[in-house]
Amino acid sequence: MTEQTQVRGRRRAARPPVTWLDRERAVDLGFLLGLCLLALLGLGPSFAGAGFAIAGLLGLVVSIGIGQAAWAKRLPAIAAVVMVLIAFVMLGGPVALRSLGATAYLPLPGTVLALLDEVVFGWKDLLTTLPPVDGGGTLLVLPWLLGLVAGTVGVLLLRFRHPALPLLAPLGLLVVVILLGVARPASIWLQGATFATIAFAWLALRHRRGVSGRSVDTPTAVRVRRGGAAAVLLAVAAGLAVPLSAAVGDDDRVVLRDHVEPPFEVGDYSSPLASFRRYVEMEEPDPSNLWDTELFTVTGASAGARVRIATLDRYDGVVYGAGDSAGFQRVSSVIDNPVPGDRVEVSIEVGPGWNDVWLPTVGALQSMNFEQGEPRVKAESFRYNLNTATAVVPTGVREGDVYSFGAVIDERELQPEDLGYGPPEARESAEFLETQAVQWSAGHSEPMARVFAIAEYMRRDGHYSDGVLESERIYLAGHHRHRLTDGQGGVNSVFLVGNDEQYAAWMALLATRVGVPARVVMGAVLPEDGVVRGEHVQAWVEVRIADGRWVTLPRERYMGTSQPGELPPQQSTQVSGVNVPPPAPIPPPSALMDQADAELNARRQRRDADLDEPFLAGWPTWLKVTLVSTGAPILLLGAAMGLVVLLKRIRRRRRRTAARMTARVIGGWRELVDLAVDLGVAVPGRATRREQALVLPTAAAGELARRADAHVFGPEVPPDWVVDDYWQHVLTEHQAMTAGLTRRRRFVAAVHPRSLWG
Amino acid sequence: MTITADQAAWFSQTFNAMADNIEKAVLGKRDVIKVVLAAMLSEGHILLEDYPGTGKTMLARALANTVQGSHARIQFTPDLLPSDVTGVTVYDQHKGSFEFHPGPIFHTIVLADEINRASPKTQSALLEVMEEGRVTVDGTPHSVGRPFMVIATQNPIEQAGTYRLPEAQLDRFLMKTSVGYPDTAATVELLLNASVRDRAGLVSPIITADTIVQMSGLADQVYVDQAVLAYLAEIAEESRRVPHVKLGLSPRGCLAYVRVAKTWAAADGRDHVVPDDIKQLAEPVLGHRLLLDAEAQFSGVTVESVIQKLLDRVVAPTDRMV
Repeated sequence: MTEQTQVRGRRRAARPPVTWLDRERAVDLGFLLGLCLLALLGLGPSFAGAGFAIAGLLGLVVSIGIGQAAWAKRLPAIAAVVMVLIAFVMLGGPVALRSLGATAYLPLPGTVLALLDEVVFGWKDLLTTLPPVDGGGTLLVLPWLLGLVAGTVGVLLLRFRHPALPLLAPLGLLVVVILLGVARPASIWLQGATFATIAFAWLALRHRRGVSGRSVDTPTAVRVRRGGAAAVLLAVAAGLAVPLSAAVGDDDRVVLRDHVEPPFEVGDYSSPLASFRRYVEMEEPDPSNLWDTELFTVTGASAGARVRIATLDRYDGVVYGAGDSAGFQRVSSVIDNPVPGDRVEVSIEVGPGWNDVWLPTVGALQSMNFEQGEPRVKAESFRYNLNTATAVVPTGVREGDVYSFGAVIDERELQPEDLGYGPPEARESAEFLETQAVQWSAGHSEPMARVFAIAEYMRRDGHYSDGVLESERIYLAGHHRHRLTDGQGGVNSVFLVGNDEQYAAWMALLATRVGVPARVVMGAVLPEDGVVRGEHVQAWVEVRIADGRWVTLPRERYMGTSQPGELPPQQSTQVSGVNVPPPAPIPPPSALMDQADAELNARRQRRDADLDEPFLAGWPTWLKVTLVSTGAPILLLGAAMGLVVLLKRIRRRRRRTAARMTARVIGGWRELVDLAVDLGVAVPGRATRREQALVLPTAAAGELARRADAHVFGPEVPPDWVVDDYWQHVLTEHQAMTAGLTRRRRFVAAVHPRSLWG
Repeated sequence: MTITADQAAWFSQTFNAMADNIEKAVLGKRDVIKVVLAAMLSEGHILLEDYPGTGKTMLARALANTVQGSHARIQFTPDLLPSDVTGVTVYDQHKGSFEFHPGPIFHTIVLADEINRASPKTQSALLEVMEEGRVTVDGTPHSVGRPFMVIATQNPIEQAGTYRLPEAQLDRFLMKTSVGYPDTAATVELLLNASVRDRAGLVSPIITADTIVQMSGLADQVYVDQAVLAYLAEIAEESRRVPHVKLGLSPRGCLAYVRVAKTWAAADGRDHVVPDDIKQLAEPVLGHRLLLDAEAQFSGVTVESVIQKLLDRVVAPTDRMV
């Protein structure tokens, strides 16, 4: 090959490719798409339904398409990235935010904010939500974004010749998906063997292309050897991947979910047991009393079913509260909660008497659907504890809220023949009842037998009092240690006196002390009509039996029912009979709400506000319509203009800092030409600089063209200072070209993308 | 070794002085004068093809007058013999030996007027001297010296009794151009001085033949980047592929192209050639070298349109070869 032929070849190679998509490129894009999709499928256990796969696939297709178009048009990588960003915003609503309503289909400010919100906070939401999350919820932004990022990175890495570089995109995606996923993989075959096999095949193919042309063997020999090598590679890949993937157990997977602490502290919420006296019958009218007030109406569950308000499993000497904060996870509408029992579909409408964070439920939840009363906000803040079957809505539920759920009910009650699960962890918390535990279970050695003995003792010798009657006002509310042990109805008095609150606390603490895990449940027993009032509220005890289940020890087993009588208890100090009001209900979230939840709610509400356009509330309709209909296009136009200006600045910077001095000079000249193009001047693109100078609207164009030619085609490469001087001259002329123009023409030239296409 | 900036400036100054001098005789034809001067400084020959009375001979004579050297005019006619051009060997009875009597070709600038009227045999007599600068008579070569330039003219419309120049002969000419009719202003000025019968006589010598040789040497030192060479080579290749062209640019034509492009750049005061030089010289260099097929003539395709198509097809480089 002659030198001139080489020169010509290089010149031609610099031209844009004629074909938009050749065969090799199509194969690469196919592999990239397939591998990334395989990696994305790893999110299967994290999302319900196939919505995540569709969102991810769309992201991949869009980003790969944009990347390929940018490659074919010889646009820089930054241009592809910017276009993908635009696509993320423009298409993000219809792809991933359909659940927010029709307005999300348009790239309105609210939609963009929601997208950004999910980009920033969605990861944490995903990791702190009990999988699977809603397949149609806003978290679809994550697979959409993952698809876009992986596709963009992959297609940009295809610009490099190294055969292995493009593999980094699907591999990175796979790692991210595994980290975001659950300990139980979607499919070891998909994520392990199949992925590895296809990846190796792609690598082998690209490597084969890379070495083609260097071989001196005959084509047949080369084909045979390459085919053999590819087969060996595939065999090795499969041979390694299959046993390795099979060998990796669920426990070995490292997922971020295990290391991200849910931002929730259930202990911040007041224990409902502490305000039990709100539900008892009062002698005198009390506005805060709920005895005959409708709390909620339950349909779908049979009469007698136990409605759980809260499970209280931690006693700190003052109050029984919910202690398992880590167990409260965000859940979607579908809850993976495999427990035996009868499946029911229950609907609850909250009445005027219930305004709390605790969400009344029945049985073990399998699904949850908030229907009325800011359902989206509630669904996104809803938390459920699988261990205690307790549901919490940090934003609170109030009158008029309606929700329905599927649940599995296990009505089994504790039997004497049941065995205890094992020694409880918090046995020390009931140490102050050691004497009673020993005395009341005397003659029994087995823990469960001692539990029944204690229950029987309490039921037999105990008396029931709400502390409401004049004569019974000495029996105070509460279940703190002093109340449980004092002489006014406590274990140190002649006989026990109290109601559900105290009896449940005694029973749970004593069972724990004798070695059987127990906890208090605050709830209600469903009446015939399904309307739960304060009178139906109860507190009972649940005991964990040998098979791990928590079974009910109904209050009738341990709570005395007889009145304490007129005689005050002996060995006690007389106290004035003052009616002790129940503790004031602590308002739901507000001050005590966990900070993270507060933030979550705030941004949810902000986002909803944006979507529901309350920022336009009170504005005239015509103004709202005008703003909505014109605002979005204006914003889009503004964004596009800003993008054009940004790209031009990047272009100028790249030109001025090019590696070769002559390239900088050429770039300087191109700056002038591009400005003229943006000003509407028809500059011939294939002309020489001197020919272009003839049409440029500046007197110095000819001189600048001659200088550029001298620097480019002259015998010596210009030094730095000469090039800098040239650029100074260019920038001066750049300003001169627009100096005499109107402000409008200057603006149009600045934001016009015409020169970017050249 | 590359020409320095000072040398390039001097070259340009001298070049323009010569052009100004010749322009006294040939009004309003600055571009043509520059092409002719470039051919001379490139040590090439030029063919002037134009209608009668446009100043072809005037231009040639003015060019000859501006150089302080010998010049001759040969009026080519059908009965002109090769020996009338090259010279003859005559037996000297006093010395008793043959003696060479040089013909009119042995001058610095030779005006071959209406060259296509001579027979092919006589035209061929110019082949050797135009290519090699020497004449071989009876086996003895005789150098014509340096500088040597043939300015030939021919009439494109009078075809009767003429002999078309063969391709080999055409290729000997570095460039071909036409003078063309003067514009109105130049015509008015010409008429105002109608009393001057011989305008070429207004041109006095301002440069010596040695200086011409020196300038030619400087022009050879002008730098040409590989990108420009590649551009030229691509034009040459394309000229052989473009439709309706039977004969494209030859390697000798390419060499001539580069030579004259260097001179052209130096005449502009530059030490380097730019793609614009190649473009500007395309028509005078390629015009007589591209041979169109018969179909082109029937289709109305001209050499000028083919050259324009060539330049449109081949993109000029904007960057040097890395």
